[in-house]
Amino acid sequence: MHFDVAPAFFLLGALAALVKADLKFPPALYQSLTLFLLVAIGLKGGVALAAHGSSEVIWEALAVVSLGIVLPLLAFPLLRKLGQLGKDDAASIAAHYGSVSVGTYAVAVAMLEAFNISYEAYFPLFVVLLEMPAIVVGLALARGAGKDSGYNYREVLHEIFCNQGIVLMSGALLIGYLAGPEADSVMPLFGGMFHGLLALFLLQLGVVAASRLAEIRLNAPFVTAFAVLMPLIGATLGGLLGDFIGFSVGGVILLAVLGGSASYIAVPAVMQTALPNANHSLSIAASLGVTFPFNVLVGIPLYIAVITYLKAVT
Amino acid sequence: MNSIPLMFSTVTGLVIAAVGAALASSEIAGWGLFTVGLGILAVAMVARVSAAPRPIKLNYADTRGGAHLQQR
Repeated sequence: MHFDVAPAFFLLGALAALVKADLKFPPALYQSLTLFLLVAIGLKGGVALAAHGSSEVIWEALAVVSLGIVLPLLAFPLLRKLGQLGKDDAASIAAHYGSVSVGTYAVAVAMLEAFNISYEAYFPLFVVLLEMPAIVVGLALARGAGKDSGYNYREVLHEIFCNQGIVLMSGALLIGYLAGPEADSVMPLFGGMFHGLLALFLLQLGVVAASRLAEIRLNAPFVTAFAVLMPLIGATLGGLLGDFIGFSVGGVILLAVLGGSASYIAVPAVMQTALPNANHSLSIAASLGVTFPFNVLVGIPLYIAVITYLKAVT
Repeated sequence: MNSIPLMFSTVTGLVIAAVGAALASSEIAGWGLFTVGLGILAVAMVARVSAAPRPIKLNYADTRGGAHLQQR
């Protein structure tokens, strides 16, 4: 029987929060684990890009970026018309669901390795690229592109391009790309300890996710349904795009996971600056309290099962 | 809660549960998606029940107050 260690640690954290166990991570440790994951993923992707990268990667990257533009455009009318949310709230949540979650990506990579499914190892490049377009689309949806939006553009652009996720992942990706095989000297830390530290990270996220659930109480029926439906739509589009690009089975699964994930690190920081009137606890509760647990416990195993089945029969 | 979001969550729960049941019964995936669909449906049903109009109850103090005024 296959047992997934990463989701088990997530469940343990959520359970600890629900029974009000005194499980507290020092904030600095949680921050350190986040930084570790960002650097580890970026570095591994950079090394892989140096080994396998070709000019085709540019076209693949452009196609992947289009996913980050389309997803918030699909989410916004759903949130406005069916959820009857305000413009700022809908735009903020749409940006969260168009962007990606590094934690979800890390869990998907761990599961693919557990199942011995190979994938394009330069995928962290796409993770970095998919962080940004949804934020720009979300802001345009909130205020209307080209109009006097009232944004402090300098501050917003700084948050978009200089948030910790983008800086660390793209920096580590570049270092890995330039170093190539010479990055082996730091790999015992960033490669060897990846799964253990990911388990600790998920333990903490389980605690955070369970405590966030209470914040959606007022809009619970809509937010719960949206936070499960949107990942399924995103994963379907991601999977179709991955197949169209011609990725391997693992690559198609990873693009489905990226399409189905929602940001909870980079986008909240930008939205708090750009849309101060939006209900930020609603968007983070949906992405971290519902979508992240859904993806870790049900979504990723589902995407793996359906895509491997479809690839086998076609 | 407004009826459109409630209708959306009910329909979404039903569709996800149906797709989950189809995938699980054909042994492509586990029953996780079906369970999630039922969960969404349950949340929608609870919200529907709690949003339904309730009959107004007169408490004893109100009745006694009215009776007292009528006697005067």
